[in-house]
Amino acid sequence: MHFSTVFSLRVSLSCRAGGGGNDVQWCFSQVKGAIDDDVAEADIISTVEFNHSGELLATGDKGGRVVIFQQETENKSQPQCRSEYNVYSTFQSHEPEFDYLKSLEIEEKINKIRWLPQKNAAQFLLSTNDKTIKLWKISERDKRPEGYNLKEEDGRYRDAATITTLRVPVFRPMDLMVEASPRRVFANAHTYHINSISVNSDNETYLSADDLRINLWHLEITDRSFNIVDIKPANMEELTEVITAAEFHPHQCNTFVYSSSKGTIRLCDMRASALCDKHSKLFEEPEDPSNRSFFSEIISSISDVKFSHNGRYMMTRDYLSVKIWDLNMENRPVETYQVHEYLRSKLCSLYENDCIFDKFECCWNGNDSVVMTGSYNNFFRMLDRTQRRDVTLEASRESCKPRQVLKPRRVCAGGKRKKDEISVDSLDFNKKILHTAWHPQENIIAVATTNNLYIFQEKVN
Amino acid sequence: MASIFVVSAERFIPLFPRLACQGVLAHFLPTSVRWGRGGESVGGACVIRALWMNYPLPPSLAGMSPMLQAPVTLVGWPRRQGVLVSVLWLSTLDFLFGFQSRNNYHFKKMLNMFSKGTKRKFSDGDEEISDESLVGARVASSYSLQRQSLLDMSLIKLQLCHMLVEPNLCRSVLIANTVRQIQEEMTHDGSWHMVTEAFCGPGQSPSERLVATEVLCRSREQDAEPKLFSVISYEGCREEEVVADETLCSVSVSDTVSNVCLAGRIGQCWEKSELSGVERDEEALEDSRLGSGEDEEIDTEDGASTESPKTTGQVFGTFEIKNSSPAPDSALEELFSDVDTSYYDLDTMLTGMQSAPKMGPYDILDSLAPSHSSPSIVSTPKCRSDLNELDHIMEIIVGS
Repeated sequence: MHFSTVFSLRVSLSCRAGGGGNDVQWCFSQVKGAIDDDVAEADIISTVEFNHSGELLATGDKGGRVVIFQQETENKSQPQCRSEYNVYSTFQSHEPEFDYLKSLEIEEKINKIRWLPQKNAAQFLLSTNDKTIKLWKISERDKRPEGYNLKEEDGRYRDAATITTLRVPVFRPMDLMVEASPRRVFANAHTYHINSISVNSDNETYLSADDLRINLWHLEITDRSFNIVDIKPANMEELTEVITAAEFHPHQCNTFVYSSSKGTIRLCDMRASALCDKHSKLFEEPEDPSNRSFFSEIISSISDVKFSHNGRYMMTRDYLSVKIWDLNMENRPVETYQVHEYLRSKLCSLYENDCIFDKFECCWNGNDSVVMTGSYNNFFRMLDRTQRRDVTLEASRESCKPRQVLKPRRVCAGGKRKKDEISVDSLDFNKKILHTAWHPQENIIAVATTNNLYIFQEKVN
Repeated sequence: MASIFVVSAERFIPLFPRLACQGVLAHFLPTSVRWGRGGESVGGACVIRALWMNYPLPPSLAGMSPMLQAPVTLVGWPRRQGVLVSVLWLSTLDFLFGFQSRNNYHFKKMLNMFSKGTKRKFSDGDEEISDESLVGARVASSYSLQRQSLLDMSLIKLQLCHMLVEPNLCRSVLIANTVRQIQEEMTHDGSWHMVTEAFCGPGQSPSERLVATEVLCRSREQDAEPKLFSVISYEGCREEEVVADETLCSVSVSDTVSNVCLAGRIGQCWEKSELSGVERDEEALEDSRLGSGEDEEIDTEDGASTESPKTTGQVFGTFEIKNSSPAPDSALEELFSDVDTSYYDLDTMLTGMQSAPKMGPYDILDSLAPSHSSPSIVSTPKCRSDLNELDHIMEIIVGS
């Protein structure tokens, strides 16, 4: 769907600005999750995703649970439409498993959640852990039948002899109950860890990508999948590159891209051949020789790739930067934004403590004018493409008052630290924002810290 | 307060609360990096001694292998602190000891230490490194040191794998590529060549000696798709043994900080038994939970070192605590008195490593001929019987 900017009288009556950027002031809306600093490992949020209308927000955690929040219906006549997200449904999506052949545990951590476009009253989402993808149906029940002839209200069967009259059962309203039921389980198709799933625009198929292979599934068929990309070398000794992310084009159902640990993105056309090992396009930026170091390859590894909503661009996130690519130009990105360039001199330390392998995600806003990605110290970055400006904001408990405007943060790379700046050495590398999501239409963002979900909204005057 | 963490070869579980090392449990594979501070070979032994003196040994450690006698290598950089070390990893044949202070595990960049001219005092005041030596080292070879430390760190990362969950393949591939890159650069520099030349007999060509570095992280895939992959593969070196038999030991024990490195080749003794009859690297290691991790301990001398290397014997001799005298040892000796030290006889293992690559599993120990450069090392045949024992242990481990 193409979201164009809604050019309405902004400000007091409408939240639907659609635009973004630095004329937008972000303020705190809600925070979900436990307050205490002692983080239970199972509560660590591992994925965040809005559905296609933005009404539902799903999070997955390391304990295999999915929590879905629903936006309250806005009251447009209210001057301040602060729509809040409240818990809609919680269910255990994946359980820990044990692979007996390899004597290895399979983590139940939810790696990705992807919503299916809504076709009827129920909602569907795909959730995946390292090995298994599940299709969940989330449906509401707000009526129940009452007045059975053969059963009491509590379910006990009546003695047939006592029945003297007949009545027709009727539906009576009941408290809303949201049920989540697994409709399909797509298992045993991946030898390596699944890192991405992506629903096709045809709404019938989806792809799942692990480190070395990409499989194409039909949503109705669970016992078979087609392998469309396989980069496993015949001799594993020669393995030097893995797949890090994959996504279908938002409009063209035959096109998908996958990114690699060497900083390349390959666009493949499924019409060309059944096995898409040969790419149609290869997006790669030549390395800057002045910046070369032993860590060059590691920081060039792409952790996330996302198509823009209009399907003309794609965004990739590597360790230090965000790059916007025009699908028609393969040799370099059209835009490059530094996320936290001050970390370039710290790469050795970050390699020591493994932070250099953190996989940050990125996301577009509804009209593709602003992109957002996370950083350390619970910072996240909003990069405005149209105005060429960027801002660093922080998701912290300190700025949790309702409608409190977020203050831009600055990191001091070296030299004299100004007031209000934070120096690189005092950044907390355990507080990382890896997962963020942007409402498809409004300026509402969901930012996941380790175990809390922050929801920020545009400030409405 | 430091906590001691030990992985036992037999049970392969930590006997003590695990080191909070990025949440991984240490693999038991011997791995050798370089000496850190207190880095002279003698200092190395003293480091250990001092450590033991400062922290009371838990009773269960008393029966442990005489790590002091084994080619213990310092894996990791002690850090300057009031406490002796922040993280100190000591590796022997089949134990990996970690000493951790309260702070998080952290490798301290060697370069920082050098540039600050840090004097590192051990708390018992035994060891001090003079500033002058540090300065000299820094000037000479800061880049190669940094490169070396990066290499060492990478190799350790590759080996320290999660016990229960499959390791992250992307991370492993990236680290492996980094290692490969460093090794390639070292080869081009000639620093690789220099080292290997010093210790190999005539007639051995470089290509024969340096083979793939297998890094095994939980390669228990039964479907013959091992997760392991070779870190380095040199042209024409696809021999089955995966075994680089080099003990690439830098023996430039100079007055300056020397980075003496003992290749962790020890494990090969029994690893080879696993490998016998196996065609290719990848298949070989699938059932070895320990990982016949061939980690190629490449050490280079300080790039610009011009001192002639002392003989192997002299260097390694200093590691043998039994040769050293003074009183502090007696306490330690008591602790380890009942341990069978034959297997860990340093000489045996090291000479074993210097033999030609293509030997069969048991041959390597048979040919315990003193190398040309180490006349003082005496070979003993005792190792061989221990091989059977190790086989047994291997079975237990694999079977467990």
